[in-house]
Amino acid sequence: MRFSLPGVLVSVGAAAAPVMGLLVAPPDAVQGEVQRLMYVHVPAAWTAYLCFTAVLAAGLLRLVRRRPALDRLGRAAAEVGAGLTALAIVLGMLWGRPVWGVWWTWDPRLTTTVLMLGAYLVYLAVARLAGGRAAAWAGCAGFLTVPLVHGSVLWWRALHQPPTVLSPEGRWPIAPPMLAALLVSTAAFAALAAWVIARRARSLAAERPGSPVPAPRIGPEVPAGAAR
Amino acid sequence: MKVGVKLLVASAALVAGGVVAYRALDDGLVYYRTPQELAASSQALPGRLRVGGLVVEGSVLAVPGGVAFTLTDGVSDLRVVHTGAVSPVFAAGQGAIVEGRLDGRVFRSDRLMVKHSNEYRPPPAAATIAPAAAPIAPAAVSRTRVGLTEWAISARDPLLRPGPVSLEVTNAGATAHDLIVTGGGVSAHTPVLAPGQSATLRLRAPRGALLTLVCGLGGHEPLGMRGTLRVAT
Ligand SMILES: [Cu+2]
Repeated sequence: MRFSLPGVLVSVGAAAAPVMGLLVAPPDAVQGEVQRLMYVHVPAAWTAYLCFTAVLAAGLLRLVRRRPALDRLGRAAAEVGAGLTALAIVLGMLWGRPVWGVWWTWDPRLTTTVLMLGAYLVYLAVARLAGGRAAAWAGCAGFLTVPLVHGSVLWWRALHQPPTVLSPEGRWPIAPPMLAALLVSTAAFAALAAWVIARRARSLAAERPGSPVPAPRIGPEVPAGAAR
Repeated sequence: MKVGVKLLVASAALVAGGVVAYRALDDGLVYYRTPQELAASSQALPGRLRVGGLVVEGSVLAVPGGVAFTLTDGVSDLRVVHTGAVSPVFAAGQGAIVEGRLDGRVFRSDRLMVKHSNEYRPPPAAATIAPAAAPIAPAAVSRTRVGLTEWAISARDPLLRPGPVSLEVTNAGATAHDLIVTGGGVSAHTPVLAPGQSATLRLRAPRGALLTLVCGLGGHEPLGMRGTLRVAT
């Protein structure tokens, strides 16, 4: 049996996060047991931010250097990020029904999160249809939704609560075992995302060798049919 | 260098677009209004609107098919009669946002949403009672209400009488705030108030002074938590 270090890290995280979130962390005084959804909802949203950061980094590098590997990295990160954004939205709705009293409302945080999911889908569509530089531009522009989502509860009045950990005052109004559960779960999500993105980028390379942009092929290569 | 120029043009366009969107959201598409804005608005309000604030302790009353309560932003109060579903976590001392229409001085709501603070803590082992607001001395002091929300400080009266003054400070927001008053030799502050908490700040207002109000929690002042109070001459 072979063990890879990233695989071991992901497994340890996947084992530790539920223990922390379900057993170590206490229920919330106001929200009760439902509050535990936070240990999945918040890490999913943060990891979605990180995935868009990877899309941005790959896009910026791609605009400078033409490397097909960067196209694949951006696409893989966007696929994972779009899934995590959708997960954060669905879990937020499941939490919102008992705690807010509504499944959905067009408050600034919810609206901008839908925008971020839209930006991911636009990027993936451009990556599939055009690829290359156009996709890189779409990825860089789409990344702007990340500060928009984060700032939505700071700049505008919202139903969604202001940030607890990423707050501007650098003061964390959360009980230490709850914070620990949140951070362990976030580490697990980030490790899992990195692992999935790396594997997906590799499988994209195998699926379609070369860049999604038709690369100019110069040389004596002749189409297989003509060679016969 | 062509890439650099393109990047510059594109980012300038995106920043401009962002600023326009920000302005639009900031002015026109306010997600909810405050009781003070409703009280102060002279122009006709749109038929259906949202109002948000803190549910005043002791104001909640069960009514047929719903609940009645008072919403405050720390400055103005609004009586709400809600008909419809009530979330089991709805309680006094927490934030709420209601949707409906204003009917005279009463707001008739048909959608009630509970606004949660950004604080997470385990249930208390033994019941701890939050310190009650200090009793207000019945002496002839001038008194005003100051509301702390995300992200504004609003006072009911902009002008104070010189001499001893009481500020009834309420955190009607969803995160912790405090109030620091300076100017004219005055330097006073409340403790950090958790969402829903209030405190009375007593100070001696010097004749003709301009008092500056800010929230001392990091980053809150630049977000808009500042204001002034003038003392009469
Ligand atoms: Cu503040």
